[in-house]
This record gives sequence, C-alpha cells and structure tokens, in this order.
Amino acid sequence: MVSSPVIPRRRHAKGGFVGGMMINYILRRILISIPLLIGISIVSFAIIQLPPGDFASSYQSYLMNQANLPAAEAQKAANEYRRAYGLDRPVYEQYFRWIKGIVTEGKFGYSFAYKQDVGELIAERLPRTLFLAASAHLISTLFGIVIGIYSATHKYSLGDNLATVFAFIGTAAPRFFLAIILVYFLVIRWKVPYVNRFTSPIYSFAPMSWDKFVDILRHTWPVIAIAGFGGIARNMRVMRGNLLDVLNAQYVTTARSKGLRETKVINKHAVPNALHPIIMYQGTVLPYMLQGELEAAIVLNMPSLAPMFYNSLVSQDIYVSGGFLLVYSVLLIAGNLIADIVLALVDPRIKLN
Amino acid sequence: MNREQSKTLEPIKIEVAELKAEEHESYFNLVWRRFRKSKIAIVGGLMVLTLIVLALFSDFFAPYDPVKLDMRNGYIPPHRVHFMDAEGKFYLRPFVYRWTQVLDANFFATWVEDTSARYPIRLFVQGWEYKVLGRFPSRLHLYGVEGDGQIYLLGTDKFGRDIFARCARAGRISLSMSLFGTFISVAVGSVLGVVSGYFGGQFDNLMQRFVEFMQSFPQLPLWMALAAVIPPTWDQMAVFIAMSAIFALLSWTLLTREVRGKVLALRETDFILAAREMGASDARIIFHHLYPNTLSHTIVVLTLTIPSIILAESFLSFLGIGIQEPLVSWGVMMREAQTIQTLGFNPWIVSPVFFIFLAVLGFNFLGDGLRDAADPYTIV
Amino acid sequence: MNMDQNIILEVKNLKQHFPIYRGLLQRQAGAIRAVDGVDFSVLENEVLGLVGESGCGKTTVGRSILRLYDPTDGEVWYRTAAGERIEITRLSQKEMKPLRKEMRMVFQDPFSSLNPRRTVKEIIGEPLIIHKVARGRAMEERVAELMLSVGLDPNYMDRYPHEFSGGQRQRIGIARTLSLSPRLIVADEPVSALDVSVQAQVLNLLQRLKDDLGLTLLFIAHDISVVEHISDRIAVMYVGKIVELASTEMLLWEPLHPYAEALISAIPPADPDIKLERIPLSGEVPSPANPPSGCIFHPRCRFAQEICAREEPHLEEIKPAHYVSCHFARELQLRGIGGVA
Repeated sequence: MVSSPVIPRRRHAKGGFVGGMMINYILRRILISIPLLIGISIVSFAIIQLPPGDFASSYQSYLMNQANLPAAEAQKAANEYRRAYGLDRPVYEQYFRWIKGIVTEGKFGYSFAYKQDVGELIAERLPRTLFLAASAHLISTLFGIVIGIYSATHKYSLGDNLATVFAFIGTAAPRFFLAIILVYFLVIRWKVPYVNRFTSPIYSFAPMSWDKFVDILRHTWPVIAIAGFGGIARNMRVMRGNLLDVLNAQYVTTARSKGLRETKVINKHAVPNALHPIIMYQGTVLPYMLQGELEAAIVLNMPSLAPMFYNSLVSQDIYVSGGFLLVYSVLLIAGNLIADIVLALVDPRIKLN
Repeated sequence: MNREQSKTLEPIKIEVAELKAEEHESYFNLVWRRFRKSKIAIVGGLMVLTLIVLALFSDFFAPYDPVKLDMRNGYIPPHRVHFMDAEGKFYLRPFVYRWTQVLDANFFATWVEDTSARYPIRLFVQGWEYKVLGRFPSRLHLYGVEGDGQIYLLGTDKFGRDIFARCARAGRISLSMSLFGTFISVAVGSVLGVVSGYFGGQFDNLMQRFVEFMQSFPQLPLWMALAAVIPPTWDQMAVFIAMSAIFALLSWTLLTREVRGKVLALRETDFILAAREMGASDARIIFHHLYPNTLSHTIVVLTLTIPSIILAESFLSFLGIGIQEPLVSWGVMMREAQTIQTLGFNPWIVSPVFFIFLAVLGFNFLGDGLRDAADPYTIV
Repeated sequence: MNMDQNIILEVKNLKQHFPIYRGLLQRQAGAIRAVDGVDFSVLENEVLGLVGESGCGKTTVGRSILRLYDPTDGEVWYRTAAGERIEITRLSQKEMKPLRKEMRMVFQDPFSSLNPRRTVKEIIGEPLIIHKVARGRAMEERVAELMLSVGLDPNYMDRYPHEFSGGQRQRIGIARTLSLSPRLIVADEPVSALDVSVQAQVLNLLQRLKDDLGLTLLFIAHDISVVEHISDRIAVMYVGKIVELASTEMLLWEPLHPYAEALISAIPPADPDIKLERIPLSGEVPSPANPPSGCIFHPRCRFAQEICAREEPHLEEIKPAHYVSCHFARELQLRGIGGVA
C-alpha cells in the first residue's frame, strides 16, 4: 500500500522564520487560485450556454401550452423577457455582466425558477451544504482512524475482517442506492415525518439552541452518514495499511525493545506517524465528501445546494447551474488549499518554496 | 571497413559453463504467476469476466425479450424457485408456480403465487428469437419454463419486462461506456504524461498548469452539468460517445500525473541515458523504453477509473441525465426507484444495484491484484 | 607531430555547469560547476584512468565527451577511424549519430542501465537496429557472437535482465557497448557496483577485449586500486578539475599532488606485513556550486600556505609527461606507494 518513508516528527527549530514563510506560501497559493477561478468561471458559463434555446424559449412554450396564449403573443412575451434579463445580448457580454455582478454586488444572476437572485439562494443553502459535508468529513476522519487503528492492532481478527467487508461495501456501493434504502426505511417502514427538511416545523424559525441542533442532527443524519460512509471506508483502509507499515518500522521495534508497553508504543510512536499520510490525503477527501453530499441530498431531497443544482440542470435555470458550479469549484479549491496548508504545518519535510 | 573488423571476438569458453542465468520466465508468465497468487484478484477477475460474458450473450441468458412490452405483467415480484410443493412433496428439478393477480383487503391488485400450476425449470430451452453477437440467429436460452408458464427471477418492471433480462442487456452499456471512457482517458492521459515528462521544459509547465486547472473542477457536478446539456434529440450512438467523452474528460488527468511522475524518474535512469548514448531517437526512447515501463501504472489507474465511471454513470442515469431510454444501463433501470411509492410497493426494482456492486467490486479487486503483479521488477 | 597523430581524443578546457534555479520565477541563482576547465588527451589504444572521489565530476566528464550533456564551454576533438579530426561539442545530435558508433560508453550500474522490459537480445541488438547495421537473423547472429565474447551463453538471449546476476548484467552492458565495434569506450565505474569477487572478472574481460580489439579506454573510477592495473596513465580529479596527470607508474610511486598522495595512501598494500600510515583527509569535499578560492584543495591540504587560498594553480608539466596543479609541486616531498618518497 502506501509506503512513504515515515520519519519521527520533530518541532520546527525556528518558529518565526517558518511562520513568515508560511504566510508567504499561503498568499502565493491564493494568488495561483485566481487565474484558476477565472478559467473555471468561463468554463462554467460556457457549459450552461451550450444547450440550444434559453429559459425564455421554455417560458414561451409554457405560455403557449399551459396558458393557451397565441403563438405570436407568446413569442412577444418571450422576447420581452429576453430583453429584460439581457438574454439577447452576445454571450461574452452576458458573461461579463455575470462576473461583474458576482464581484461587485454578490449577485449571481436571476433564477427564473425561484424568482430570486442566485446569490440569495447560495447564501441560504451553502451553509447547509457546508454543514453536511463538514460533518461527513468529521465522522469519516474520526471513525476511519479509530476503526483503522483497531483493525491494524487486531489484524485478521473477526473485527478486522468485518471492517474489511464494511470497507468494500463502502467503496463499491453506489451512494444514491444507500440513500434510496434509507429513504425506503425512513418513509415506508419507520414513517418518520419531515424527512426532507433540516428541522421540525417548530424549530423552523427558532434561534439556534441545543435542542434545535439535536433536531437538525435528527433530520440530517442520513445524508451525513451516507456521505461519510465511503470516507470512513477509505480512511480506515489507509490508516490500517500505514499503521501496519509503521509497526514494522525499526524505530517502533526500538521503542518495544526499550521495554515500553505495547499500548504506549502504539499511541506514542506508531499512531502519530501513521496519521501523516491521512492528513496528506485530506485534500482528496473533501471533494469526495461534497460528491457524497450531492448524491445523498439529491435523493433525500434535503434542501441544500444539491437538489437545487440538479433541478436547475433539468429546467435549464442557467444562472443557478453556473453559480452553483462555481461555488462547488471554490469549495474544492479552498479545500485543497486548507489541506496543503495543514500538511505544510504538520510535515517539516514539505518545502515551502 | 576499419581495421577493428579484422580483429575477431574470441568467445570465452571456460566462463560460459559457470555463467548460467536463473530460471527463465517470460514477462507475462511472471505477471500471471504473481497474479494467480492473489486470491482476491482471481475473484475480482472472475466477477468481471462473468459480467462481460453475461452482457455479451445477454439474450442467451434471458428467457424473455428485454425490450418487449407486456403491460399486463407489470411489477411481478421475483419468482421464488421451489424444490418442495405446497403439499410438501420434494422435486429434484426446481420449479416455479404461476403468479396471478388478486385484490387485497384494500382493493389493490397484488401478485400472489398460484400453487395449482407448477412449472419445472428447464435448461437450454427454445424461446424467443435473437441474434448471437448480433449475427447468428438463435432461439436457444439458458433456462426457461414450459408451456404458458413464466419465470421472472428478478421480477418485472412497470412495463412487464423481465428485470434479469434487462440487467444482462444493460451491462452492455454500463460496461462498454466505462471501458470506452477509460480507454479514451488512458490514451490521452498516458501520451500527454509521457511526452510532458520526457520533454519537460515549457510544454511540461503548460501541461502541469492545465492538469491543475482540470483537477480544480468538481468532478460529479461538472459531469452532471455536461451530461445535462446533451440535446435530447441526438441519436443513441451520439449520446453514448458524448457520455464516454464526458467521463474521459475529467479522468485523464490522474493518469497524466502518474505517468509523468514515473517518466520523470525514469528519464534520469541509466537505461534511458544508455539509449541516448547509442543514438536512439526521441520517438524510440518514448515508445520502446518509457512506455513499456509505465504500463503497470497505466493498468492500475485503469482499474481505478473503470469503477468510478460505472458509479458516476449509474448515478447520472438514475437522475435521468445523460443516458435515456431506449438505451438501457443499470442506472437507467433504477430510475423508477426515484418515486418512493413505487419503491415501497416494488422494492425488487433496485436489483440492478447488485450488478453495479459486482462490477465496481470486481474491478477494484482486479486492480489490487494487478498492482502487485504487474511490476515484478522495477528500477524506480 | 607523431605524438599528435596518436591522439584519439583531446579535451581542452572542458566546462560543464548545471544551472540552479530558485524562487517563484525560477531565476537562475547559480551553477553547479561539475566540470570546470579540464584538459587531457587520450592516446590511441591506451587506457587512461580518471580517478576521484564521488561528486568530483569524473562521470560528468565522460558524459560530456559523449555529448549526453551539452558542454558549457571548451572543446573536445575526436579523431575518427578515417583520420579526420572533429570538434564535437558543437555538433547537433544528428551530426553526432555516426560518431556514436565509434565512441561508446559502459555504464556504472548494471541494474539500472538495462531496460527491465527488454530481452537481452533486444538490449544488445538495439544499437545495431538504431544504426541500421543488422536486423533479424543477422542481428541475432551478431548478438550471439557478442554474448560469447563477453562470456555469456547465447541460449539466454531471450531472457530478461533480472534473470542475471550483477556481473552477468555488466557483461550484457559491455556486449551492448561492443556491438558496433567502437574505437573509444568511456567506462564509467564499470565495476564499482559489483561484488569484489566479480570485479576482477569484469576487469580482466575489459583488459582482454581492449587487447583483442585494439580499443581505447577512458576508465573512470573512484578508487585508484581499481584502475592501477589496467591503466597506462592516470588523471586525478578533484572538484571539477584535474589536479595531477601522469603515467600510472610515476603517479603511484612519485605523486606530486597532496591529494593524489592521500588517495594512494589509501590503497591497501599487497603485503599485509607492510604497515603504511594512511594519510587522512580532513574536512568535507567542497560543493561544486561554491568551490573554495585559489587552489580548490587548500582547505583540506596539510601543506597549504597563504598563497594557496589566494591564487589558483594551473596544470603544469613539472616532470616530462607529468602534469600537476600545485604551487609547491617542485618543493614537496610526497609519499608514493612504496612508502618513502
């Protein structure tokens, strides 16, 4: 498996110097992200512009078919709509208007379906998505590491084998299927009310409190569990492999030969070094969590970014699609940035230049 | 020619006898021997092989035409295979009962077993006509029941189509799309990786920036967005190719990185230097020396890419973006499960998930085994 | 001049610097002066030993001569079989290709210098194919002949390198080098990666091939004891420069440079009863990115004077055909292989 040479940790000798380098490093990383974001915004916008027709044309057919308006009048209404929202302008102009709105006013464009600015939708739903993804990340790291340590120290025991089977299921089962199963049990078997909500109605407008928090967890655990499940499996496998490698390393043998108790050897010497690759690997876990949240929340129709993104794709609500795509990219870049910084802080071997 | 030619090379006779090489094995023998040792890899290989055979000869394994509609037989539960009848009599040959619709207490029509009619299961029976591999007409099927009996091992869907038959058929799209997408991404990824690692410099720099750019896209949301813009008017083949290309689009970067890293390390090895020293061209160095040595990495990434595409394809198809009927993939088959009531009454409609599970697990196992086996002797 | 006509390779003021890049914009911040002004000639049919500690640039000299690197400065004159003298440092790789048949290299590491995915036949026969000398059956016959000549059984030509031992693999490498009947071979530490017991076999093979085929060898080694028996002359390198060059006999018995003296004192004596005091070298080998001022050896030299740090000595012919780069070459009484000088 992963067999990076593991050296015992040591403290930085010159804290201040490293601190200065660190800020420099972070600033440089952020600078590099800017052209990346510009590129991503162009691509996001290009993708949502790809399909023939726009929202106005579906509006037109809606007027004709559902509201029984004559074709000419529907056409006229659609054209007015285009003019009002700048849909008749050249694509690059629409793009610049879009970017300008985002940067200057935090406006991501108008959602035709929700009759609201996409920025407001994001402001409302992004914290929820972050909460779900971060919780999933937390449990996947926590459980992954704990189960991994147990597995490595109880190699080939019943528990280890169970954990292995569990890990295979976690990596091979489609998450949307796990979500379907949960929905089935929640709705059909257990008849749990308000499955697709964050809170029970009584807490909807209540200020944040412990009770409300518990209520939120009671409603969101299926999404968190499904998004975190695969992560637990991956973290556990990595942790198990690393710890087994480390336990065979010479300095661990040395620690044992000094007469240290096995639990102390594991906790003081082996685990800290085996954790290293886990941290290294966090950069790839966050997108995994976001994708898990995306899959689970769509199926469970949890009001985070995910189902709205999906619906916007189906109904061609382009500013929602484009804005959300951009937000997901920013989350991904920020996640990688944080992972790199944490790694640079933890690992003295990482060169900051 | 020159005077050195006149001096002949004298064989050293004494030493020949002493200098015997170790036991000889060809590369593929060596890989196979190591691969065989890994039980999990063999299991994975068998799983993948089973699915491929099932997909290729799906009509042979299907007792009923997977596309023929039969509205009167909608949502029949999976048929139970019995050895013992209602009176407790044992039969060596397994059989199924007839299923009929009755009204339950709430006046809903439900399917129940009718123990009055018993249909033994026969192997290699004659049934509906199909063409083997699209060419040779045949009526032979692996299993079936006689007379007016029916056998739906995994039940039927809304339109009365045999789910097992459809699962076997769906494997064609699910597997071939992931293989095709992976093939594109491997072709693009390994070429760019080798070239960028070998030549380095400005091209490598640009390439690296581009790979970083591509990797900053959130994979699943971008796949969804791209799949959603495929015009519904396109024909099946175009949709298939477009979807494969979309999956390949975000998958090649992983391989490019891996291969580039490997080539960067290989570039400094003496055997590449030796090739340059003897006057080998860049093309020769790339194709004769670098490529073969990146093969094991390519294989490993390949076995990681295939399952990830299978999973993504099934999710997108489940959502109804991308692949559409009449193309059928495992994900498409699970679409009906989106309606919770439908799922509640007919839970067997999610059975295609076991094929997805089998495929993903199979390729993962295979990759695990190949990772260790494909590189029996490495320098870097 | 008669002497000049015997010269097959002449290296004049060869420099090979590798740039160091630093910072966000990757500006060149300096250079590793791996080879920094090297002069020597190789006579036809002789073996010139090139000796120095690891990192002194001896391997780089060999690779620059064969144009595996593009030299920073200097000239390399090669006299072809047809008697034509060619300066090769400015040749394009395409112009260089015909010369690659005559000038070949044996690599140090027999494990990394053979492509693990190619059979012995493909490895030895590759130069024949690249230079369109032979292919198919003819190539196979030539490979068989070559394998026999280096002491390998041609029946094993379809095997992969990993199936052979280190010594056998180095023989494969030598056979590959011989495949185009070269005139000049740069042997880059060809035995240093091998077991001591195998080293002698491979050295004997090289000696025999050199005699049989009339080859010229530039033999690179980090240990004088490896080259003393095979070399006609020995050049001693230190941090990118040649500090002493003389016939093997002269250098071993009457070294004129303190560094050469120290290297020679490290040779284990043939008679174990003779107890020779080893002259220790204090300090570290300086970095070629930042070589010391004046004489590069002065920080480690036990005779160093004030002038040594200030002024750089040049390679001078102190005795006939004995070149030394030391301010005090005429005054110092140094110890050779026999002990007292």
